[in-house]
Amino acid sequence: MNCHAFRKVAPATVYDLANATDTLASKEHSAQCDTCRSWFSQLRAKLCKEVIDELADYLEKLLPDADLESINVHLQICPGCREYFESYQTTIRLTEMAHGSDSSSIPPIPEDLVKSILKATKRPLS
Amino acid sequence: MGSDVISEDDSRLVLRLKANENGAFEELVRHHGGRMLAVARRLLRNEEHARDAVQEAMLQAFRGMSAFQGGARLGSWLHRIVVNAALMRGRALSRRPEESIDELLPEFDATGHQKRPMRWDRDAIGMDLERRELQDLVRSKIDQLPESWRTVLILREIEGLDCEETGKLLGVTPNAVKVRLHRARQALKTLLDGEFGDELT
Repeated sequence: MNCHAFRKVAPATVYDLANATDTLASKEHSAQCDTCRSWFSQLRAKLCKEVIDELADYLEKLLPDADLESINVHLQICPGCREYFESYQTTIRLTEMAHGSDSSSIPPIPEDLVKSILKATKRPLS
Repeated sequence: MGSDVISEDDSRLVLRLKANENGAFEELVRHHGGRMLAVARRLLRNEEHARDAVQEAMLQAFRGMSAFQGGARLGSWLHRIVVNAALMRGRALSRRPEESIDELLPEFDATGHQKRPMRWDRDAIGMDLERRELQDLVRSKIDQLPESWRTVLILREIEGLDCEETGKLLGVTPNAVKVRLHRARQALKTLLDGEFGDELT
């Protein structure tokens, strides 16, 4: 197993989800490769609470790679968190849409407010 | 919207404003006033206060025009001014103690699992409701958020300000803005669970 393959497979081993062959091959690889071993040592299974707490940073990819990976795997295996993540993203889209309107549909400023503003600018500045 | 749109009309308008040309300020008020009023309404949710904030913002723009260097970025400059004016007015008005957001945040059991995981019926969002109805529904839920979370949600998600700018306007750190935005989205999701969600079994 090379480093690339290791990094694909290893996150699932954290949640005991990799098959026996992959688990064995990952162990062998990490025994030989210092870089991958140190990367792997930061990976750990995350609780739903941690995943949900970190969703904003996860979405913006502001987390270290090891955290992004553990969340990726967690979302694959946990329907509750997957649903949470999807409705969280939908919430963001709905928020943007709720007040969104194309500029042509913005009502013009009321005439009396225009007058009042123009009048105020004629006053001596305080 | 935090429009960073470069407009040639605006560059010309700025030159005319700086030259104190007749009618130039009125053109600014008419051209940008509607959008500024929309921003103030979103933040203040009260017509009278929103109008006051726009008037205040326009006066600031009038006084600040000679120092304005942004040329075609007039729209963004005015946007910042009206956001600030609306927040100042909002602060002066609200003297109520802040409500808590805790009851709208997800709950977890001792093992860190969600107590009530929900599944949204995405078809219901897309098909059952007209866009207009959906907008009204979501707005009404946003309006139920405690004030400081609602403000952060609007500034970040709707007005398009970043954490840095939002933090400056609210007197908190960018990181506090980030945390508050996440909580606001979570709380809004909880409020929308009642419309679109069923308990996941």
